[in-house]
Amino acid sequence: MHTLRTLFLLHTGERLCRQRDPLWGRSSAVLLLRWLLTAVYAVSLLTLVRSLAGDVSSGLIALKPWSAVLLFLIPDFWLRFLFQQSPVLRTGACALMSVPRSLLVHHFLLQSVFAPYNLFWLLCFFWPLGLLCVVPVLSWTGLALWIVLSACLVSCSALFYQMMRLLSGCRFRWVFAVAGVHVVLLFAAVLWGEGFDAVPALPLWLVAAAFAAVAVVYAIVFRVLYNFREEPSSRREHSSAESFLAHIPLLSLEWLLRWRNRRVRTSQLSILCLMAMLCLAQFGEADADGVMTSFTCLYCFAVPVMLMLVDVMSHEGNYVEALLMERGSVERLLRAKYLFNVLFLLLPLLMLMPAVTQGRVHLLQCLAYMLFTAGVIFPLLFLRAPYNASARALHRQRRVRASLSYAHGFIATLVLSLPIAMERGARWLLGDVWGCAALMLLGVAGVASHRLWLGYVARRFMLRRHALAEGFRATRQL
Amino acid sequence: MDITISNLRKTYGTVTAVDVPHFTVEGGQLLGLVGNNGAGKTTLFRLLLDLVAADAGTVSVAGIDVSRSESWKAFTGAFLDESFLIDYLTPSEFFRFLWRLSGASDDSLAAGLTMCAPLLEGVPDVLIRELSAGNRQKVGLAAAFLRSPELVVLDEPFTFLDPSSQHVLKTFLSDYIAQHPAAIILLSSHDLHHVSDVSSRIALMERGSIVRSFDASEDALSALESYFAAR
Repeated sequence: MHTLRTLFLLHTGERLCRQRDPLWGRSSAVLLLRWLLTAVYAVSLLTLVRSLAGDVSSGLIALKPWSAVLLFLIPDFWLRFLFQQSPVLRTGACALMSVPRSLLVHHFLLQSVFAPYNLFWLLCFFWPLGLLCVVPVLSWTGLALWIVLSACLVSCSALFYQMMRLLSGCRFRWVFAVAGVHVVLLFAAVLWGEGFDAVPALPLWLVAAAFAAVAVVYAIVFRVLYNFREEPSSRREHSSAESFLAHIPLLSLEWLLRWRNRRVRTSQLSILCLMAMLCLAQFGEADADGVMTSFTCLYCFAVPVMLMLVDVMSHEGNYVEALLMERGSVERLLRAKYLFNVLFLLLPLLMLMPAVTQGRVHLLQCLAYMLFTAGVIFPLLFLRAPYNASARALHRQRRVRASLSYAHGFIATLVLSLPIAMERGARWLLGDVWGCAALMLLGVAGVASHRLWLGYVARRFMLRRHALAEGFRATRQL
Repeated sequence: MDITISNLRKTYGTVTAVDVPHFTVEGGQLLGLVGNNGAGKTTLFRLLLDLVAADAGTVSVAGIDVSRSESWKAFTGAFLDESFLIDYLTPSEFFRFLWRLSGASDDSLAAGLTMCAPLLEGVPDVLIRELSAGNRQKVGLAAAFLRSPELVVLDEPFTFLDPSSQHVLKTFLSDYIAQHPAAIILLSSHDLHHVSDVSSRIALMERGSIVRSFDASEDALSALESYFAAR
């Protein structure tokens, strides 16, 4: 009885926590968007399957094992990682409760298995897939077995996801490990699998094996979570870069902000991975009309800086009062931040060099995007500095109120569309060379005048310093 | 060096956080500000440091209106809460950062750290976010005094400190005022004993107003205790 009551209290507490979550709980628009995107993704996957499967009446469609892995587990994992909110298990707080740790972990895992998100994913994708692929061949009996199989598969995926979510909270390298495994599986499937074949049957032993798999995965995940202890981060040794930058205090601060704070470091690493993948993608099929190359340049130059700077000064909101106590520090910080990000633009340029040498990407195009980003995109993003009044968490997984303002959306849309629109327009009007030259000129003008517009941004920031400080203070206390 | 407050007023909705018609602090004073929770002590300090916009009135430090100029920051040090710390730096990095940000040379940093050494006793050189609350408090206090400012503002400085560190801080504050006769130290505290021990002047704050202000004496503690007992 006590156990049941404890479980009920835990469940109630977590439900309240989710309802009051400043990011997911209060913004019904964000919640609706989340479910909508999941449904759209499921429909697009189904459409893909349908187009690949061909004629249903000819009795085909079932998936070879490798294809099953690709189609079910990989998208399922990443969809959960991007969209599914993890049930709360704060071991620190729960450790004070007079309940056995094993009970907490069982509760957590069972919540994961029976989460509404799993049912939604089954209803949106797996069961329609069964209607599409299984019923024509195996009739409704096969569908019943398919429903059970898919539920077991989704349960395994949910458990695996929770384990990865918890482990990635302390070491983001776990997510990269999973991504690496998925890339290997993808390559293997491309090499070996042909995707679809006539399905013979769905034998009962397969269903029994599925249940056994769920039990095995459950046991493994339980053991990992039961023994999980979050380790505090330890003192970092000074790298040579830190020593080099130590004599430039604000540049050094920007560097340390990127690499000593878990959330910022994670964003940085994700951006670098994205850039690397896009640079590798240039070695695929040749891009006849250059649109893909333009998108690659956009995603290598403009999008990373947008992701880092769309909330410019929000990280500094955690210690803005230390900065405000020093005269002129805000302008100097903005200047250091600009210089740092301009130097950061050399990185995608270097990463694209192999593609340039192979003739996949034009050097002028890369330089045009780089300079245009430095001279035009940066001012657009820095203009947000006097208006970002939400402090973003640096290190811990602390939620802040979603800053889904129209200004954010407008700036993001502008950053994503302006470089490509300008580049394509300039090249259409002036030709390839002069078009790129025009963009470079605009960029150089922006870079050369950076003191002017940075000074303006700093003045606007100081004029609004009180409102910003109060906003940072309010969001820090969340 | 003095602080002058004129018709200072700050409200949050219908609540008056600060309402001080006139108040002056002369150089060489260590002013202890006491009051119950919600009296407006922290808000007054934030107004003084131009971290909050006043609805009316002015605060002048050495004749400089704090909301119109930043030149007073050159001789001001403060520690109100952890937002004054950059928690992904170690204490030594933090001090070096503040020192260089102020434009001072590294040669004189050692002298500043030597002066603050008593406050930093037992503080390891790990990331500030890894320090205990008491050690973070010590780092913040040391950072406030690092450049030997003429105006120091401390909000609840004795919080989180162990008894030995509290004694060290009281000795440090007394020595600092003795070595810097023109300096002003403003501190707030809920502990009447600490305030009566270190302060040369005590101000009582209630519902945003300074209701009483008197020079510290041997009877100060009993006067404070009887005042708050009557509340």
